[in-house]
Amino acid sequence: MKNKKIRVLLTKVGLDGHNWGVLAVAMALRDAGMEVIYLGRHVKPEQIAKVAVEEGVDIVGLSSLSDAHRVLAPRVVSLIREKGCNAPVILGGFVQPEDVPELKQNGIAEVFGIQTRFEDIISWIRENGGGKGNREM
Amino acid sequence: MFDRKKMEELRQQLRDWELENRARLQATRKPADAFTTRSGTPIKPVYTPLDLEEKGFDYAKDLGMPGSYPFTRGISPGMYREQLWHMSQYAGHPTPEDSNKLWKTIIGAGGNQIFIAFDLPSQLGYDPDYPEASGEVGRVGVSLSSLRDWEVAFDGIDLEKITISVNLNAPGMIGIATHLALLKSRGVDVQHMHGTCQNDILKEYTARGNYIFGPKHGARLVADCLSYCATHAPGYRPIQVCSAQYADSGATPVNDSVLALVDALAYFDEAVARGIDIDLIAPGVIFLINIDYYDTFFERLARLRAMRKLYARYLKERYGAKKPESMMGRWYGNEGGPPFTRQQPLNNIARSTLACLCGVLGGCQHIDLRSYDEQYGIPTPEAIVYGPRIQNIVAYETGIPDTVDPLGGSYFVEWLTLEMEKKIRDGVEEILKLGGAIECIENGYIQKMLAKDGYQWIKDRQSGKTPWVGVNIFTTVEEERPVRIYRADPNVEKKRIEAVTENRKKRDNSKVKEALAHLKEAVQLPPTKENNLMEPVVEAVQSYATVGEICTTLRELWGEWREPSF
Repeated sequence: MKNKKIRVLLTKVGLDGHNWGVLAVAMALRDAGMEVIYLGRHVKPEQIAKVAVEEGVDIVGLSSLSDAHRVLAPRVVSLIREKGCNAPVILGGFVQPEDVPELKQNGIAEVFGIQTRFEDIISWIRENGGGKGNREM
Repeated sequence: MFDRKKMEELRQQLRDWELENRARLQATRKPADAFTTRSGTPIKPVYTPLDLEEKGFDYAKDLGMPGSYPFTRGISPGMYREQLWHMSQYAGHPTPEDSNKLWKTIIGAGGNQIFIAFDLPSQLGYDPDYPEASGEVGRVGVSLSSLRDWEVAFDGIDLEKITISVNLNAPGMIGIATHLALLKSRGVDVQHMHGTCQNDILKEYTARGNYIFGPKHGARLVADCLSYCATHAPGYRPIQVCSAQYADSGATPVNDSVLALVDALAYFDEAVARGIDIDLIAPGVIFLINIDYYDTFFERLARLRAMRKLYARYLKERYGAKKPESMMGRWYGNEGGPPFTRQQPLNNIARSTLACLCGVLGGCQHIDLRSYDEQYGIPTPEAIVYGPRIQNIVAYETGIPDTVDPLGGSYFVEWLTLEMEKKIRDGVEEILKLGGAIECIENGYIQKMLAKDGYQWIKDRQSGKTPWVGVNIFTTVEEERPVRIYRADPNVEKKRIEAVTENRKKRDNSKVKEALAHLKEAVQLPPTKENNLMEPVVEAVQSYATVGEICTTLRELWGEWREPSF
């Protein structure tokens, strides 16, 4: 029998070390009944893609406050798609609003800002995360 | 101090007052349990000498005179009557040239200490042309990869008047060595070198995340910096033990204090185990300590006083320090910025003013404030000048600095200072019982503690339990934004790769090779009083070796730290 819980991969991407936000989101998602795999800091796009596929996650959540996501987040999307994983990739942290359209064009499904409420992230994942990736609903 | 008869009279008077005003005292504008500090201490409506008597308050033991042990009231007799605090500004724009311009703007606005904000590759030991640096060069601060870059960045800045704080941790030793080399090249006697380097690696493993090597190697580098500077640059403070980044991860004032103290003890333990005299290195320690007033101004303030007392006691009792300079808690008051808002951004200037006041009333030696537009990105020059300007207003227009420890003797502040002292001491002892800071990093205990506090901080703001102007109260429908938002030049990575390539071409590469070989040799020998890694690192820096090259040498020998899962 398949695990009914939504599996979320959360990770920092690039060199940025700020993890207050991503850890809080991880705790909020767990409290909401999801399964969270957290990879920690200084994680390369290649490593993220590998785990996303191996673990068959439903959602990949990236955290970045350093602006490097403009380069690295699209890289994660193309790497996991190359491996045949269709899980939506979402981004949270310190993202300039004017960068959002370009990020979305490059395959980022949704961008959450620094003051996003947990409930908004949770409901977005519930609506978009189940079954779009590796797992059947 | 507490006359028994008078206290009995006072007790009666207080009882009568409470009885008489019962209804009004209970009809509070918020629920009774909301009158609590962030660390969970319930706050009463009024404090009297009875509260101090109950805690066993003793003026001589608990306070003493300013400039005397245990330094509760401040580390110098006249405090700001002798000398104002250093007005620091954390800042860095992408290239050495950009930063030179920005720092001159800050100095022009009345700042006298440049706190270098580096980009992430520089903080993690990668040169701009390393693959790991891709997308990160110059994004969150200045990219400085060699002494050559420092020469450009500080061109035309008088380093005998303006001091430098270096915000490097994992490669902190390289930052100190480069600062030394720059001063030497200008003919400055480094015996009179001032400034600080953050160099507090232990909090990187948990709160801030810019680590390279594991905690034991990290502590070795710190102990080497402390002992080298004590002899070669005794006016320099080679470490800022940080409470600030714990607070910036959501830790309560009690917990950020506890974590900073246990980190300091871990460094001292490492040095003392090597036979280094505590009185040689302790004067080189300063604390980067949080002065954001949230959520409770007086708790942060009382903490500044309580921590000075506790720190002095630990130095004296645990290490047998004898020199007063070893026991003085020097505070680099830092406004971290978590209470800053994107909404109504000019409100952040008011928040900074309160943080500055907290730092001054708490007796800080340095103060550093955030820029009101930081919730939108790297500060613009137009906004960053308010950091030093706010400080100058507090310093010169208010008369606040004219009295030493002006809140000393306030029944409330003294009571809260004693309360904080007890809670912080209990927290420190708990971690020591569990094996100390390094052990508690390796097993994830500290990470859990921070994650719990940080989650609560956000939940309380999202639920509205913690009021936040512009976010959950007094919100405005129309979005207010700063006039201009800073964006880095998209070509910055290319420019910086060119600069580092040119440095590699112009320098004498045989000297670089030789210096790196010396470093490699020293790293493989055990750390002792004589085998100090600062020596080969200074040699490498002077040969224009880059941060990336020096860190690669160390990485090859020590490997990299991976976070434990928790």
